Amino acid sequence: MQVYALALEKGGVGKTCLAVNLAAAFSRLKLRVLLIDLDAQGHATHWLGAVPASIRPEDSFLGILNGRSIVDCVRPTDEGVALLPAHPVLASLPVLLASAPNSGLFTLQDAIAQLGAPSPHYDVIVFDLAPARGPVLATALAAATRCIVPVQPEDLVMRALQALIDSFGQAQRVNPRLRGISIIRNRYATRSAGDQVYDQLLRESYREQLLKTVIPVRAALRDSAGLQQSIFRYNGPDAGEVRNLFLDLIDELINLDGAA
Amino acid sequence: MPSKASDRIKAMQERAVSLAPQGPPAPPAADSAEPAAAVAAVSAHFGATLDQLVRSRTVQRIPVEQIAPDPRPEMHQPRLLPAPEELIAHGQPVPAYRELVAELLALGQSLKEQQIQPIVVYPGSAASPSVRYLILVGQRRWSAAQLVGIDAIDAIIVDPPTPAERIRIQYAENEDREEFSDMERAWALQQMKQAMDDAPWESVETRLQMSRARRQQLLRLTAFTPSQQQQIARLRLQETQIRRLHTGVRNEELTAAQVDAILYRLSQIAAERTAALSAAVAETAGGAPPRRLGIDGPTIARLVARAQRTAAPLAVVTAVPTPRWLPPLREQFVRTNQSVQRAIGRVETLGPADTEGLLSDLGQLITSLTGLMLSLQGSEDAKRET
Repeated sequence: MQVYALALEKGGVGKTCLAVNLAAAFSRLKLRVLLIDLDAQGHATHWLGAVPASIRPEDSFLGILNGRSIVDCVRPTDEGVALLPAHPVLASLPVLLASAPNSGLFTLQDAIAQLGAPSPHYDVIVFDLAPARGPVLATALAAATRCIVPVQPEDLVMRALQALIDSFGQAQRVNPRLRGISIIRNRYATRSAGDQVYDQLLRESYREQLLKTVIPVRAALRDSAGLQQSIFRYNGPDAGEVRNLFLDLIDELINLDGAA
Repeated sequence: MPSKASDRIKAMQERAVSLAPQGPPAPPAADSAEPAAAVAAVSAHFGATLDQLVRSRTVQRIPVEQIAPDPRPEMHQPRLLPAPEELIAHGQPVPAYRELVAELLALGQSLKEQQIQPIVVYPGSAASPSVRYLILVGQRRWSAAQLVGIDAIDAIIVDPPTPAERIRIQYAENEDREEFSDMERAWALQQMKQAMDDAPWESVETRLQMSRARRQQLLRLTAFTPSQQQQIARLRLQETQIRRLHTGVRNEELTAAQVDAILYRLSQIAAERTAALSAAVAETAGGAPPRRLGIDGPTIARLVARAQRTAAPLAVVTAVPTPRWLPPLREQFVRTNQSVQRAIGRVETLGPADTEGLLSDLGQLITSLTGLMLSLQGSEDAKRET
């Protein structure tokens, strides 16, 4: 079971877009995929077509925190991806986790352990996270097998990246299964000379962690979000190109994490 | 180019199967040197500290009868602490727990004067309808309060923990107690593995902040039978003390009966020493509870060696070889029984002469069978009397 956490403390780098389309791509390969939306904004939940009125607070991760089984909270989606939806009251999650025993560090890990017994329910689990450091990021990294970081060639993003790599190192101390951190150039364009400096910095300083696939800025991704479709269901201009890029991306991940 | 994409997806599906197997290949060892620091450091890094659990909560005074240990078996503390009613019978401490009761009474007396640390409870119910809270931390203090008749104790109420959280917290709490025994540690390990849905041992080690070597060492104690484990916990024998004993068990050099005998002898030694010590303490007018005198490794090695010396003749006496005539006789009984069963349905086909002949045969057979049965019972009784 591979558990991917899409994380960065900086907002607007495309965590949700990657989480949804990554999950959809894996699901196209007939893998059983679960997306856990840990962001109170619930954008991944919306993108996957869940109806807000049908989601109660206890269907979200809050239910798990209060002892519900994760299996009872998960719902199917039109994308073929199973979804643990977000609810606006997830905004209270950091406070609730912090007051849980052990700061809730292992809450998500325990919930996922339930999914592995007696036989695994899912092959791939994807976390979509809010842009913040805190107990939610901690419990996610304590449960993940790989952290995936979307970046752009910008100063603030690079600072956030460095902070996340610190967090990743901390999480590895309590989660021996957290195998690696992978950086994906997302919504990527190098226009100015400044952009190119950061681009070069990424390619040199983070060579080990940098994925080869680059997802450029594409209207298809924005439009598909509006239609509540993954790029694999969306049928507009450029859809084919972007689909191929996401297949490239999971191809790289299979190489990194596959059993072979 | 949808067709091209679908070809590609088909090709990738085969390789994707490699993601499916559960449990990734063994990752590099985590910070196994000092995992205790790791959890604290990680919590601090992510902006939450461990004592946040109780920080914002106020201490309340709760009647003792509203509190109980969690009744669910998987929620039992990995610890040898029987219910108060099992410790006292007819107003007297049960002999096996005499020392424990003395410790609890002393603790109860100090609680009467002042309770320094509140216990930690969470909302829940048990068999008794008066119970409103279940114990997370402080079962010992609660038992002590009951034994000395304290009505209410200071407690902090927290949210119900998950099983894994509960074990970790209780383990950390007990780890500070000097009398926490290795057997109880081994139980905590087993419970934690169960609570984490049979996660790999390395995850359990991380969670309990224990080294791999220590974990392996402790689990050797689980080679004993459940009742032997209880006894070992009661005597608070540490793993190193009884290494000779569990090595003997794991190498099948000692039978369960021999181990029982050795443990019985150890409990006698412990009782003698406790009695001697409490007499000495009474003379010097000290109010301190009796403390366990160590049963050392050499004592145990000696007992094991003695058991092994006497093992060989013992085996000869108990295991009488099967005489050669018995197996054919028993086979014949099985066959005869089958034929008789079949014959029962066919008696209508018999003429008067045959019926009479068969009845006579049966009479003889019943006589000899009864004789055999009586002599078997007779020899059994004779064995019992000697």
